[in-house]
Order: sequence, then C-alpha cells, then structure tokens
Amino acid sequence: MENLAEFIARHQDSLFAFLYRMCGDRDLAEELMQETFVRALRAAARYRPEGSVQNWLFRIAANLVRDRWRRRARQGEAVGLEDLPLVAPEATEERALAGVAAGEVRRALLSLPLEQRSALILRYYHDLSYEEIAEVLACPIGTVRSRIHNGLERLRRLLAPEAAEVVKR
Amino acid sequence: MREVEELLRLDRCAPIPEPPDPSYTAAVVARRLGRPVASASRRPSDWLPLAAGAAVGVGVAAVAALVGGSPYWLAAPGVLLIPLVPVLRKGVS
Repeated sequence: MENLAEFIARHQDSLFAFLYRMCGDRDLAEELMQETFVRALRAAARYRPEGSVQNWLFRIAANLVRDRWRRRARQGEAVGLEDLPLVAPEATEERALAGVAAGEVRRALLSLPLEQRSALILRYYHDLSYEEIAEVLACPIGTVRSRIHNGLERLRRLLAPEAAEVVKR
Repeated sequence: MREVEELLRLDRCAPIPEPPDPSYTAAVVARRLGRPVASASRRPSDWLPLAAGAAVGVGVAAVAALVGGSPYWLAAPGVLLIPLVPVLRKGVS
C-alpha cells in the first residue's frame, strides 16, 4: 500500500464531507473519519477491495455512523434530529421552494432516517451510481431507489410551502 | 421532485467545515495503528552518498590524468567524502 500520509491525503476530503453531512457535527465527523481510516488500514492487511477504494471507505464510514446511532439509542441518549417530530415551516404564499436557505436544506437532510440520508448524500453529493450506492450500503439496487425516492419526498414535504403538516414517526 | 434535487445540488456547493490537516490525521491514525507514518520502503540507504563520493573521486582523477597532474593527490577530495556519509545521509533523508 502507498504511503499512509498520501493515502489519507487522497481520501480525507470526500470522506470527511460525507461524514459531516451524515452527522452534522464537525468533531464527530473527524472522530469517525479517523476510525474509518484505522479500520480500513487494519483490514487492508488481509483484504483488498475489488472496487473503488473510496467506496470501500464510504461503506466503513456508513457502518460506523449506523453503529454510533444505535449505541446512542440503546444508551438512551439523544440520537439526533431524525427522532424528533418533523414540522414543516409554516406555509406562506410568498414562500417559494427556491427561497429555501442552505441551512434549512442541511437541517432537513439531517432529519431524515439514516438509510435515506446516506443514500441521498452518496447520490447528490458524491455522484455515486445506484449500483455503487447499493455496494456501499450493502442493499439491493431497488432498495436504493426506494430510499432515494422516499427521502426526496420527505424533503419536499419539509421544504415546500405546501408542507404545513406534522410528520410523525 | 426536481426542485428538491436542485436544492441538494445547491447545498453541495455550500461551504462545510474544513477537515483537519491530512498530516495530523495521518499522525493520529499511525499512532493508533502503532506504526510510523512513512512506510519502511522509503527508508534512505547509504548507497547514494557512497556512489557520489566514488564518482567524484574517479572524475577528479580522470581530470588530473588529462592535465598531467598526479591523480592520487587530486583524487583526495573524493576520498575524503566517504567519512562524511553519515552527514550526507541525514541530509538525503
């Protein structure tokens, strides 16, 4: 394997961006990024990923996020926005979808269930194909399509002016 | 749905916090793995300074022979380079 520093420099930016958008917390994203590299390099001694190394790292990172969220849920800690009732902004005639601020998009994204969030981030922020997302998330392509569709629909109800309803889990 | 996709594309261009310096991440990861950051294959060897010293010595001797001088004496600078190998090695690394 190439020099460790070179390997990390090559993959750090995209990995951090993925984790930050998944968690919404910079320090947590950094911690999980380091853990991702540690696990990847330990596994690399006995395993060589056949596909993209970047996608392999995404897979490890997605699993780490999922495990962290489950651990927090078991411990009774707050597990993030996705478990809060989703209340769409109050609808006004003047409000248009195009006027939605970037912060609202990010908050809405963080309110999605992990499975939908990860699929959307991999698709729209990292340009992965459906096949690649299925490989990263270890699920069928049909499931990926479903998660993306449902995630977009959920975001639309959150961000669109007509979505003045409460979505309860 | 296209509007939502467009919002996601716009958010993609919005700034996010900077990740740490890659060298810092590499140091943390290396420490957790219990190994140095640079791989062993890049450890400097001694052959380069020795070869340089020998080449200088041969070159100077050849020039001395061409101009009619004593090659033994004029080859001294090259020979004197050999004890400087540890210093040169530190510079190369």
